[in-house]
Amino acid sequence: MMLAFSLQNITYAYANGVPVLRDMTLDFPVGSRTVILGANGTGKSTLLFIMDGLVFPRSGTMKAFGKPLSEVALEDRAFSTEFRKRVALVFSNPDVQLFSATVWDEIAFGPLQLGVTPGEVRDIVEKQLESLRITELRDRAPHTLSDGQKKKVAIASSLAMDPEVLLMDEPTNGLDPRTQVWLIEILHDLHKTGKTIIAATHDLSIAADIAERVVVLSENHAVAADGAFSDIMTNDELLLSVNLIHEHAHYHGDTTHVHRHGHFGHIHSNGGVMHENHKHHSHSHEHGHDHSIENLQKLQVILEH
Amino acid sequence: MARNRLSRFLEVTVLSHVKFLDKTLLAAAQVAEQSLLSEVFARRAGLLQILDVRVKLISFLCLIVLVSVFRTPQTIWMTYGFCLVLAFSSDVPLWFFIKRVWLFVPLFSAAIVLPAILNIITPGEPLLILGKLSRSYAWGPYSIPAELTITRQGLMGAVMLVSRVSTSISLAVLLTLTTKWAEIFSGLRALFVPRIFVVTLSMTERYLFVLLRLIQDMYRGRMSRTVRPFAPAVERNWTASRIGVTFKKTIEMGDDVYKAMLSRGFHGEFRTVNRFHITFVDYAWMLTVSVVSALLLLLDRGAFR
Repeated sequence: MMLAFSLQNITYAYANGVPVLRDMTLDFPVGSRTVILGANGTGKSTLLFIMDGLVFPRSGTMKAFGKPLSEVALEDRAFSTEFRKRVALVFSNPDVQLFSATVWDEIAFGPLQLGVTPGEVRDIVEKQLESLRITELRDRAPHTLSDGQKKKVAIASSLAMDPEVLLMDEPTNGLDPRTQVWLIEILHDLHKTGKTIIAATHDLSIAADIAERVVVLSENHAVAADGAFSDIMTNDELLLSVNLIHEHAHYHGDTTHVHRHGHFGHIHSNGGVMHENHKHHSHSHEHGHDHSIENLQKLQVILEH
Repeated sequence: MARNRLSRFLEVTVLSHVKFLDKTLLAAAQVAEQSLLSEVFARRAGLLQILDVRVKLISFLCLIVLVSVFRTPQTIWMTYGFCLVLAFSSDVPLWFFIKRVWLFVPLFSAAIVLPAILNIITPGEPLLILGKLSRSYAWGPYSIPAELTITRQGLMGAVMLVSRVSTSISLAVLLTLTTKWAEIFSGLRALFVPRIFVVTLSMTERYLFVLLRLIQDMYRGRMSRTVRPFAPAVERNWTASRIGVTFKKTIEMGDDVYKAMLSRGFHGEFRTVNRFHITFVDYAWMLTVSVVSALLLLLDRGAFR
């Protein structure tokens, strides 16, 4: 099995010693779809930055496509160009990624830096504009775009390099539901073409839509779980322990009722995953409580409000 | 009574406080709004909007240089007339255009020009006697004559200066109104401005809007929680701390932007692609500007007398 990334005992800490990542060992096979799940501040973004060769671990080793990835290795122009061609990162905040004067220039930036000829760059940009359905944004300045449009342009600018691996940091941040659906469709299309997709998020709904494998980061910055989507997402105890779902109690008449809420497509105690549209009705019952139809309707009304 | 006075005092101070926040917010919003407004004109299908930006930049630069070498106010006014015709044919509302320029002219030139029309600065043929002193005064090379007058030479000099300033500003404003900033920056390359300088300018313009939004959000956040006035010292502290926060955010954002550039293959050399193409309209424009400039120059130098 060819690996896109292989991380061995990766540790990272800020200059003041505050740990960000602890002893992480992870493999990402080529062509896989992985979601790195974790609450805020668990080190997801740093992990992506490390995989993109933007920051470097304090200890541990990392390989990209079988070759060691380090600060020294990236100083080699040929290796660096090759690596940048194969791996692209979509930043969480599109404003930092959209630094060019126009959308056209933004999409052209990556291929131009990688030495693609101007003629080919023109073709690449036109193709990206068309395939992501953003042709009308071509000459717009980034500050005139909405958040959703900025995200689309950021994705287009990363895809323009035709990377084999697409790293995405909080891909659904600031996106309206329609743009989220658009993003999921794009990711499915990319996966069909054999691209490796690694997305870091705390949004469980997108995990349900794109992941075949889930890596869960705990609040002490270590890997809490790594496995198939269906196994991870039905493990209430795990999700509760890493702060991705929460539990609260309320009363139905004289009965105390404990709910576990996950704002995502759905966990039921029977392990089924329901559709995103029903996310506000997600409960797993801590103890048996036989709701009558009437009570369920009331509950639904309450939850909808 | 005392309570009424207190409530009136509070009302006034709260209002003045809110006014300060309001003004800051308004100023920030106006910068963004003006820029967007300029883009609105730049998108219209007028004469200047369809020209190649390089041709436009060079021709406007030539016209501005020409205005500075003209010796008679008549030829400068004719150039101003030509500028108005261009504004009209570029779908820029004339009144808006005139107002925009003439609001700045007194600011730029009146302060310099007003003393220069007097015989204290420019001696010459008196046109209007403003006042008389008992005797003249002299301090080394400086002197005040007994009769304070407006001189013909001073007035002519003032008219020339105001005409030059207003026409040059009109040309510059027309150029920026009918051209997107992004295009102007790209076009500067044609004028042999170093690429790194153009890129820095372009990124400065780009991130100005991001930081402007940040400042607006901070002020809005403060305003939404303002229920009573603060002491001036508290206000000053808050403003200073916001300046610090903005500076810190700027550094953080700069770091992230650099990471985003590295991620897409940036190696320190900024490559760009030329998207311009000169058409028949550009050649026709160059011919028109050349003919108009030559005629005006000949007229200015008295060739038709």
